[in-house]
Amino acid sequence: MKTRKLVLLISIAVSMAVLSAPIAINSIFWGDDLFDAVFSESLGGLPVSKAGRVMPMSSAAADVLRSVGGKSSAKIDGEKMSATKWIWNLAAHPEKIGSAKIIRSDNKDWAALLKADGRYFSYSEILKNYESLYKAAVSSEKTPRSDAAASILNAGAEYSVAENALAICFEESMGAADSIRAWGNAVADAAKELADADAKKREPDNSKLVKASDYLSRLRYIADFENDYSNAVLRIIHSSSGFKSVAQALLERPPNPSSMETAEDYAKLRDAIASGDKPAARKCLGELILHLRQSGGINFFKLKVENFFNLSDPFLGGFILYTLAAAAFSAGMVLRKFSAPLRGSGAVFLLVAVAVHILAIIARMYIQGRPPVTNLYSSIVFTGAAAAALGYVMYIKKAMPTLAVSASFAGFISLLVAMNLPYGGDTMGQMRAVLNSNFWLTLHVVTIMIGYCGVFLAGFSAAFRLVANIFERNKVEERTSLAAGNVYAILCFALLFSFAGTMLGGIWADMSWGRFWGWDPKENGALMIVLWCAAAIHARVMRVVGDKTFLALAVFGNIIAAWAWFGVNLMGVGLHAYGFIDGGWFWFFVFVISQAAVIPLAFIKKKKSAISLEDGKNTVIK
Amino acid sequence: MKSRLLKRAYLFASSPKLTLAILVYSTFLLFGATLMQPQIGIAEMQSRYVESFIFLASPFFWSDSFLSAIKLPLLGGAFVGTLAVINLIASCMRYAKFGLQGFGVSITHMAIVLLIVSGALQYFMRVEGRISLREGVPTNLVYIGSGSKTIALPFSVRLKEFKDEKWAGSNIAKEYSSQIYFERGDNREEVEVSVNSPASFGGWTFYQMSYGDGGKTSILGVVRNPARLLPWLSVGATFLGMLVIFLPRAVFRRRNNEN
Repeated sequence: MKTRKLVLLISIAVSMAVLSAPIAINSIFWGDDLFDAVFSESLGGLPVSKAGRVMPMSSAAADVLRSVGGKSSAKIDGEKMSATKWIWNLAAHPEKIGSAKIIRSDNKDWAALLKADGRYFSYSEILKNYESLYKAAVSSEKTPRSDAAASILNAGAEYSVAENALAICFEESMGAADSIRAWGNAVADAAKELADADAKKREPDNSKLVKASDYLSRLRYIADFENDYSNAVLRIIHSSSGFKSVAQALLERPPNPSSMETAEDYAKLRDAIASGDKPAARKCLGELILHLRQSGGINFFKLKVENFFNLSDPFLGGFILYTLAAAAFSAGMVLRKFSAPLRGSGAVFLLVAVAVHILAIIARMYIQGRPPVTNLYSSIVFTGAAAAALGYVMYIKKAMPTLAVSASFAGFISLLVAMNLPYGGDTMGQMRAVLNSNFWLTLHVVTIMIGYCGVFLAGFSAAFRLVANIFERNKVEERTSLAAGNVYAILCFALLFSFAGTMLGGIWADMSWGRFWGWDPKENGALMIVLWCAAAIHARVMRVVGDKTFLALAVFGNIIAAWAWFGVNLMGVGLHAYGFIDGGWFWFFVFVISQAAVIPLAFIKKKKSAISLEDGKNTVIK
Repeated sequence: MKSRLLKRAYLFASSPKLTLAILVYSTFLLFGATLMQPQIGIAEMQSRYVESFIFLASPFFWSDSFLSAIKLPLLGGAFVGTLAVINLIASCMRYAKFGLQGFGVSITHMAIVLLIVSGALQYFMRVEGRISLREGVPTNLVYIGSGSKTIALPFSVRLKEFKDEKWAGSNIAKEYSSQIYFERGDNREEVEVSVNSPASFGGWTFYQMSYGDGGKTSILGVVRNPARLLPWLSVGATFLGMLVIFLPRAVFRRRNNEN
């Protein structure tokens, strides 16, 4: 009893350590609480509107970094920087940051030309090679090279939009606050000169207008550029009419005093960071936040939640805990002697992982104001949580470690895939018009994802049983039959939900577009899952196949579900592009082959008890 | 002799192996059809593989050599659907039981028959097209299919205004909507059509599809579908049937475990 308590305590302590690791590492090793702080105010928590969503600066900056380079932090001269610190340094020291290799391209030709380290190169290299990139991007021939050039230019544009997002300096030697002042003075001087010339009926003196005209064209250039890349702009100036970018706020005539005050606060902050004066920066931050709070209209609590979410990286913690849980349960199956304590700690890890996973999804729902599934990323995260939770509950009820391993494995895989998904923009972004319906999103997508999770859970459980059969000597038949019973129950659940989800999709489509079914790849994939579940279930109920073959059918369900979920998404991109087996396709095939390799195990007959293992049609069903 | 043949036919039609074969075959048929779709487009795929009774497919479809000339006849969706209807009815007659379970099983499978039949009915009865509305210009012309065929509505449609709303500070569309009038003689009705919320008039339903000309032209989908509610009904009935099958079992199992 004592050891059991000890094991539980240690497991809980380890879980807590894993969960707090991101914040702890951040604040002890390379963090800077001016930029990223969990509890006090920091630059990362300032409100920004990007692509139609208000988010903390830590999210917006990470969004920029991910879309140019795929990573959410940067390494500048060997120093690791959080996204927030990076974007402030970009405003403060554009040359230094501009020469850091953080922009990524997978095209080898361009990488070599842009003097990349591996796949990463710097913004200043893009500027140097702008001509050749542009020529390739606009060429009428669509080749991988021209596509890559276009996406490099796009990354460059996003980067340059971010460069002017927090503050604008007209000249290198001039600070941002001085620039705002100079702009105000120049406009005032020009206005005075024009009025004076008008009164005296003389030609205005051009030399007194040239400064204002210079600055004006510079600001206009930035604002026009921002118009072209509207979704990439970080709008930081909040006023009663919503969020504006700094360039827009400076161009506004007559100037809005509140917007100007925010712009000046930001400029002062930028200057303080540029000169390395932290106390001054902290003071400016305090003033800025006070000002933003007074102007109202911003939900600071929500920003705090999202900033905390960014810093604590709950999916990483969950991922590690799922790994620990899977390891503990597997070890418990192999080392029978330590089975009880290992299972105990595995159960703790799994429970904490599921709890964190679900809490993180709830936090995302709160931040986004949407149902849990809105895009591929969130569908993976959600399905993993649902499968892990379902598996955990079944494990508690039936005490079968294979179920627990499948549950941990499902959670592990889902978070692994989600974290490595190619970046397709803010994962909590605004929904396009067609999907802008919380009612149907919830009903259709969530239902169908629960169905998918059932298919995968059944498939993984079946696969584990088939693999375990190779290693086990005793009670193989009994365990197989028990596993088949469980897999059957999960598949029934999966059929119910995937059928309901698919058909709800039909009804949604019928209501929105006037067609119930359109035979598009995603719909076909969903129908394939329904058909396959029905096939497996009928094969068992009608006693056409035995336990092992039934398990093999369930494993094949994994392949079909993977096809319906990812394969059809890859089809449009991959099949006709060059390099058939790149990125997504590669992993898709790895998965398919791994599952296909398990299926033949169902048909191996062991010599030792050949008779009893014969794919018995006599096994009792129900 | 005759009755023996009939009996064998009945046994074949109601055999579980046929059920399984249909389910597995249609899964792979769908897979193949999906793979072909990028090459030939959805409409062609639908008519070639789904709405056909039989089609020719090359086992070497990826090859450019003479091998791709070798073609095998395969069963199309219409054939499989017909077979499925026969199989479902025959199996229900053969295996149906009394009691709650049997009731659920029968409901589920008969509802699926209805679903397949309603798919066939829609194939014959449903008309789908597009109508392109310029601001202020009444029209009754509907383009069918790829646009080569047109039909005239018995009333005219006039676009008052098209609105295209974006999420603030982005170019992500939040909502498209068209303010339109339906005009038949002196009868005039004003409605709004937006994405996810269509409007009906005179048996036709209008859906917001897209727009052109910087918002001066709104393109609406136009559908007439007398069998529209059949799939809804059959899907609902299938789901209820499945609940009747699975729910008692799940509840019963739980009690079993507790004891």
